[in-house]
This record gives sequence, C-alpha cells and structure tokens, in this order.
Amino acid sequence: MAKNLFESEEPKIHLINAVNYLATFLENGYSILVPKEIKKIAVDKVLEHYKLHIDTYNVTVNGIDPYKVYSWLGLYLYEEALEHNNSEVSDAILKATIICMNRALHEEGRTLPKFYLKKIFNMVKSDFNGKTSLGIRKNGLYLTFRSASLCSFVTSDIEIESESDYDAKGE
Amino acid sequence: MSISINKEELYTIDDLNDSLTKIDSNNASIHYTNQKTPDDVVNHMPYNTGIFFSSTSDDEFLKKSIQKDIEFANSVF
Repeated sequence: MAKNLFESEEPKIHLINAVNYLATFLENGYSILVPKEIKKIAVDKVLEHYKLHIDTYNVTVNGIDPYKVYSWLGLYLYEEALEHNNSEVSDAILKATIICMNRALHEEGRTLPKFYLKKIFNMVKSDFNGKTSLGIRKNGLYLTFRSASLCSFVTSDIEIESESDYDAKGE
Repeated sequence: MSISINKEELYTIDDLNDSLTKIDSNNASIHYTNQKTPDDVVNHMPYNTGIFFSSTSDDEFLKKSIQKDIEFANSVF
C-alpha cells in the first residue's frame, strides 16, 4: 500500500512553518492579517492543486516543495484580495510571496537578482491586468524558482582564450 | 522594528490534520514515492531549506529571519 507523504512529521512541519512564515511576514512587513480561516481554505486549495499537479506530471514525491507551496498559496491569497478590489493588499501579498520564495532559494545558497524579482512580480501581475499573453501565473511563478533551484553549472564546449593569451600576443 | 508573532492566528498541526482528513476521505492523498530512475521528476524539500523551515519553529529564529526579509523586500520593491 502506498505510503502517505504526511505520515511522517517532517513534511507537516515544513508545510505549517512555510505557511506561517508567509503570514508572519505579511503581518509585520505590510500590516496584513491573514485570518486562520483563510489560511485553512488556502492550504486546502494548495493540497488539491498539488495532487492534481503530481498526478498530471507523474511526479515522484518525497517531500514538500516550498516553491509549489508558496506559489500556489500566495497566488490564492493574491486572487482573493484582487476579488475584493484591494490592489494594495494584493500587491503586498505577491511581493511577500516572491520574497519568501527567494528566501527558500537563498537557503540553498542561491538567489535571483533584485531586478529579476521585480520582473517576476510584474509578469505575474500581467495575468491579472489584461496582459495574459505576457503573464506567468502561479505555475510559471513556481517554475521560475524551481528552475533556479535545480540548475547546475556545466563547462561550455566553446574554447575561450584566457586574458593571459591576449597579453602574450600584445593585443 | 520589532517583529511580533500572532499566536492565535498561526496555522497549526490540528488545522493541517483536518485538511489531510478531508483529502484522505476524497481519495486525494499525496503519496510518498522513491525515485526509481535518474530521469524521474522529483518533488522534494531541498535539504538546507528544510532545516531552515524546521528552525522557524523557534520564535527568535523566526523573528530574526522575518526582519531580514522585510529589509530585503524594502530594498527590492
């Protein structure tokens, strides 16, 4: 019988703490309180989408992916705020989400440049302000950070002359 | 700036267990699977990031980290 991911404590702690990290950030950084009832609905939605995603893409699961959690959680809250016509709150939620995703990436020893974090913010917003052909929405947002997390360095096949070679030629 | 933690509104293990009970009864559980081939698409918590999130159970650690991230956010946006 297949083992439930949440049979062990660690994925539960990771998920709970990730949710509370974003919520505490929102309260302290932007004076936005996400009531517990909203958090509960949001996590239900995240888990629902998580299951759909892993079944659709045949994903092997052995832990909670913080980038999925933040993207889908953050965008749920973002869309709820937009529906209540509160663009200041929705913008703050999106900024906090992106910063939390970058925090998760930072702990892996990586980061995205500030100009790119701003661009990501604008590209998510495009989906909600009439520029859908230019937007990335919640799956693009997740992929952006997940790709940064997974990328590795390789050696180029192109041979490049070193600076010392140029010096020797007197160029 | 001092960071405060709103204990009453924190999402808890009981809240998560309620959600998990609902998804289990809808047959929508997320199952743990071992990687079978190097080409499998693997969903996981990166090791150091996992340590970070576990550490945020400590209030002082959480507050320091949030403070840093608020300062960082203000420098970005």
